[in-house]
Amino acid sequence: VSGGTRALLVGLALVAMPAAARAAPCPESWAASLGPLPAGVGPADFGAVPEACPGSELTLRLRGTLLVASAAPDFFGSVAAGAMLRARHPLARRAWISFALDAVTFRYVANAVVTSSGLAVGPPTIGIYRALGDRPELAVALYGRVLLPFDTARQSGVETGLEAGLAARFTPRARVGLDGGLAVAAPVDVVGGQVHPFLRPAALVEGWWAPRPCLGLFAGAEGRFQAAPDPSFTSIAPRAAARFALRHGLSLALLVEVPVAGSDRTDLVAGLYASWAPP
Amino acid sequence: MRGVSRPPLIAAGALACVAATVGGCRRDGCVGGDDGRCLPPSACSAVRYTCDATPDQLRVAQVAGDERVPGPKAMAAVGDFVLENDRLRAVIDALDHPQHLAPTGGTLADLAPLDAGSGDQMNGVSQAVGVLPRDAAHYESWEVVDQRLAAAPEARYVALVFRGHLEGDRRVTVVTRYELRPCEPGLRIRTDVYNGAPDPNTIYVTDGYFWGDHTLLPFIPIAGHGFRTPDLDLLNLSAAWREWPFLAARAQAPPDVSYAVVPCDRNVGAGFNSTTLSAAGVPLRTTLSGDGISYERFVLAAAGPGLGPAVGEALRVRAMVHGDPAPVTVTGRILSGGLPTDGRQGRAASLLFYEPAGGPNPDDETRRLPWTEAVPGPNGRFTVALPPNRVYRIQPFAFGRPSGSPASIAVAGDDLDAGDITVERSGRLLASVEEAPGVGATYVELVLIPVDRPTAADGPEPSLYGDFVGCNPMLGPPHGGSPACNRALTTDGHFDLLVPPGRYFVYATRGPFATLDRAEITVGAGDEVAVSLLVQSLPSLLPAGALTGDFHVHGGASYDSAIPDQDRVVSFLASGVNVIVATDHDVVTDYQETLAALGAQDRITVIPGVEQTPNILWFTVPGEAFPKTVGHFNFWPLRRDALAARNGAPWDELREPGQMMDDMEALFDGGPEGGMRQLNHPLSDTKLGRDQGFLRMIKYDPRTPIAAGQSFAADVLLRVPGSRLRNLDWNAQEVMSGASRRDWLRYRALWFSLLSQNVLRAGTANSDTHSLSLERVGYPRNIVLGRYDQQAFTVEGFDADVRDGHLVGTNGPVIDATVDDGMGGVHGSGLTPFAADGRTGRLDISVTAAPWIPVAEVRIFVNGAQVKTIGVSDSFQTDHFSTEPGSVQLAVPLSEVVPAGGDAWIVIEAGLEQVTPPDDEDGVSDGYPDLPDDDVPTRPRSLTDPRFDVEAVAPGVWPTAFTNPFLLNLDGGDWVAPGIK
Repeated sequence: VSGGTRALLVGLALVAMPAAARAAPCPESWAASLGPLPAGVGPADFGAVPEACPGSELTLRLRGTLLVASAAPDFFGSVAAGAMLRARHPLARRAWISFALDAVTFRYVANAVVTSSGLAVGPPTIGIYRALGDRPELAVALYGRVLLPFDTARQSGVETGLEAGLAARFTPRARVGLDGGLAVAAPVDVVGGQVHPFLRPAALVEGWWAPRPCLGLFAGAEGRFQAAPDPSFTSIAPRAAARFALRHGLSLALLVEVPVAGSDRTDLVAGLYASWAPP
Repeated sequence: MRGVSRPPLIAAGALACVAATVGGCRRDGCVGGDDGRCLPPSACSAVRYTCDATPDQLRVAQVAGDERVPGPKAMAAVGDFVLENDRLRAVIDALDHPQHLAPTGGTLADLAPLDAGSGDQMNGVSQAVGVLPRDAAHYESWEVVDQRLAAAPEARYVALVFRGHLEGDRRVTVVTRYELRPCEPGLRIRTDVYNGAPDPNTIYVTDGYFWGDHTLLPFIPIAGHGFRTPDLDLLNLSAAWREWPFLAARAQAPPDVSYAVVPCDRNVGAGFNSTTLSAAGVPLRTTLSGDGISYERFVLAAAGPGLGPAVGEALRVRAMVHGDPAPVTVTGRILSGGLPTDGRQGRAASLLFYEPAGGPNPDDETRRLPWTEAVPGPNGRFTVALPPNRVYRIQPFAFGRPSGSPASIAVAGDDLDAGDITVERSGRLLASVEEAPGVGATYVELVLIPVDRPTAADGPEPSLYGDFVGCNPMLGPPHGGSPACNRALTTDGHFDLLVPPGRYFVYATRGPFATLDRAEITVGAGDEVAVSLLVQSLPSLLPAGALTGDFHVHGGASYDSAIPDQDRVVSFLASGVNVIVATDHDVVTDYQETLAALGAQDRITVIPGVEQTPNILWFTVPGEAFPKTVGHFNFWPLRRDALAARNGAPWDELREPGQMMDDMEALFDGGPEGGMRQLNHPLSDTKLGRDQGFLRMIKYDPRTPIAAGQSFAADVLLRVPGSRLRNLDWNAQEVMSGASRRDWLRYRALWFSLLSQNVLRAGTANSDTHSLSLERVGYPRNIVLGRYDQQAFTVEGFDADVRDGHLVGTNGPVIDATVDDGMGGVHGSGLTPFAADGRTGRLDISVTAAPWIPVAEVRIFVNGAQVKTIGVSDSFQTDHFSTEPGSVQLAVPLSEVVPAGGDAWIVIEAGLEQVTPPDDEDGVSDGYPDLPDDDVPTRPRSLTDPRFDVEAVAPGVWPTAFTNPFLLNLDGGDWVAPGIK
């Protein structure tokens, strides 16, 4: 945890540094090639590698996750469907903030034949981002995020946490590029007076191709780990997405993610994104 | 750092800290995980009972000697923990004393009021978060919290804390605190669970109450329920899921005690309720990873008949904990014929209190809201507690039926005298039974059946508030003590019974080797009818020196039986069985105290044994979605150790049969060589997903050989899972188990298959009785052919004869068969081959039967095929109440039945006609015959039907006897099994 905290402090310091010039590879906020899309199974956008480019937008994500382990010995399954609202807004030419909130989440969990379901609100996150460097084909941003401890799904305690990371976008050619980054999330469960901290890094690499200005295609994978306690490999999750730029700053996107290895038993993550960027 | 970054960050951080402080930093037991130091707080903190109890009446200790309270379920063993106050004693089992569904100790084993005449009726209560074995609490450590010397009286308590995790996931921690305070009639229990696993889960923190169908009768006060329970299908739990203010249960048999569970930290408890199993826990909610949940409840016990005592306490606890209005006391008196009525533990009179259903029928049992039950004392007085300010209906019951119209009362905020409530008058039956003219009998069973077949006009079938139909008349709870169902027992030949008005046949019986007597009576309301009956022993029926034995019986120590020991032993004695093997589920019993109290040690031999009954699903079978249990096995002779867990029976879960057999080797009384290992009901159906028949579980097809690699079942059977014995190494197996003809035909097919494969096992016939009404002792039984007399009897010799197949199984007829080998020798049945001359040898068969036992044919099976059938009806009585047995002697040349070449085995049957049905009725070709559903024996329509009286005394029985095999070596050399045809 102390290492993660140090990294976060360094990151926050870098975010606050003055910027020289806007990164060239960054498209407009409504562009079809803008990425990466926040996915995974974490709360709101916590733990998801963000965009490397500054921008202003409002996004509604409808996300579904599916875990089917109905065969012996698991006899387990869960489905979650939720709506997340996420907003980004520039603070300065090279700095921006985000606010994300799981506005509503429905969960259905089957522990063999004992099942539960319910709706929940929360948690929210607040993030702050700082673009770095000034290379024509590369955009880099450091960021930090806070997971705010408001989640009506929790019965006895809260989950909060900090996250720091690095997002990058490499655009060697006009219609082709790479997104990626590293996210180091440190969620903390505080329950019944006991504190359970975790350190969970994740790395994303995703290529994109925009065959037309209104269409962006994305493919990549994210690796997730738990560094502490009990280090373990969580998952490697190939993902594919398509984003359509519409008129008036609107865009729609679809994403599918399939964790294929590791301890995460999630079978499928799917997201539908509707975004609006002010002209 | 500069610009606008700093303020949001600081704000967010501050916000997080505040929220965390408010929401999670408060110390709250172990919902945040078990760090070894956390301590669940006292549960149900609003409960306040006061009394004059002194601190020294509060006790917490480990059991060091005999600490058992009265009651059939009391199982305290050395090493267990006792919590005791001035009102009750609770026993929590030691970590290495797991019972029933729990993988470890730390569960509530005994809970008994200390009132005189009360005792423990609770099978046990264990914690879980779901229905699978992996969801059970697995405790690994314990600690005592002793606050007896606290300065303030209200701070005095004793508590036990058990720490562990889920059986299937160590990341999900479980900590349970049991606490007892002075004056309180129950335990305060809190369980804290922390989900340290990465996925959200449905963590249903619950207590499992394993009623086992025939013990305590559960009750929930919600509309349409009460004692009525929906069918429980574990694969469709949502259909049975309910929420309730409390769960209660009452005994069906002495000692009279009732229990209740009141949720404390939630207004309602949730789960499912059935006569087999109830789960009382928290309402269903998803618990996220890293979140925790707790469950507080007050589990109380109250002495006295009926449900009322526990409901009264539950309502008082709810008033303290949830602020419900304090209950009011309703008193009254039950009259019959203008006189106060003794309820006789609810048999003759009880009252059900419910809020009326809305609509035109206020008594609609599918919508009314039951609250409690009252059972009057000897003076007819009753007292119950009820929630105030409501209108109630009071329905009187007697003998399992509504008795009189419901009355209505309006209960305000004050105690109420409901006045007199009248039930219909009963009749009185005085029966005397003699065992010879002028000589009174001692142990006799009386059976009543209606003369006229019941019709819809007779009203609802008798039941225990909707449960346990099938008894007419219902003289008492079907699984309780005598009188139970339509049966009663005596120890002196006399009966004094209250019976509902009607016309009855009254039977006196002492088993199938005695005559039967029957009287027809008409009992009017208030009438007193006396009958005298004669039941004579027929000693000539049995071969000289033979003893009869039932090797599979259950009493109140079994989790699915409630019959008191006294009644159980009297039922043994009344059945005419000479030897009983006590085989309670997972506990060794011997009934010696009851035998001594009755002075009956010389009349019957009880061999201590056990039925090992795994309940935890774990065994994997290819193609099956769910894991299995491995079926039931009996073991005897054992030694009962009242200071040991389960009286010395080893824990039988997660063990293959061979391992269970290995476990018993050192425990057999007399050494491993003398041990009996019996495969019980090998093809029995599952119950709540638990396999009761080993061979059915592994899907053994009797048409396939038991050879390595031939099938999954064959490989399992041949495997040595432990140190020495194979899963196939039982030495006896049930060919008849209970009255079921269908089961007998299937078990017989299996036995024949094994005999043909040289897997030689003694075939036995046992009742598997659990009560007076659920299977009858000695139907069927074994006739062990050993030239015994009472003085020369030894358990070792008796068991050796059983093991060697020197026995006949029967539910009535008696076969005495030998083979004259044609070379000067005569041989009885057994598992040892003998040489015989197929041309000159002869089968000599004697069949006898009591006059009321019909016998129609003798069947001869050779190598599994029925080769000869001989009609013998003319030799048996049509006068069922004669004193002359029927008999026939037959001589059958071996040349008529044995094959032309090779060796052979022969089994002889006698009884009613029976054609082996084909294997096609159930649509599954499994190699076993299928009896059509409409071919199950029921009450014959005609009084002259040969089965009429048998069906009355032993419902469902199809009179049949079978010998064990004769192994004929016909061609010299070694005996060679014929193999599967």
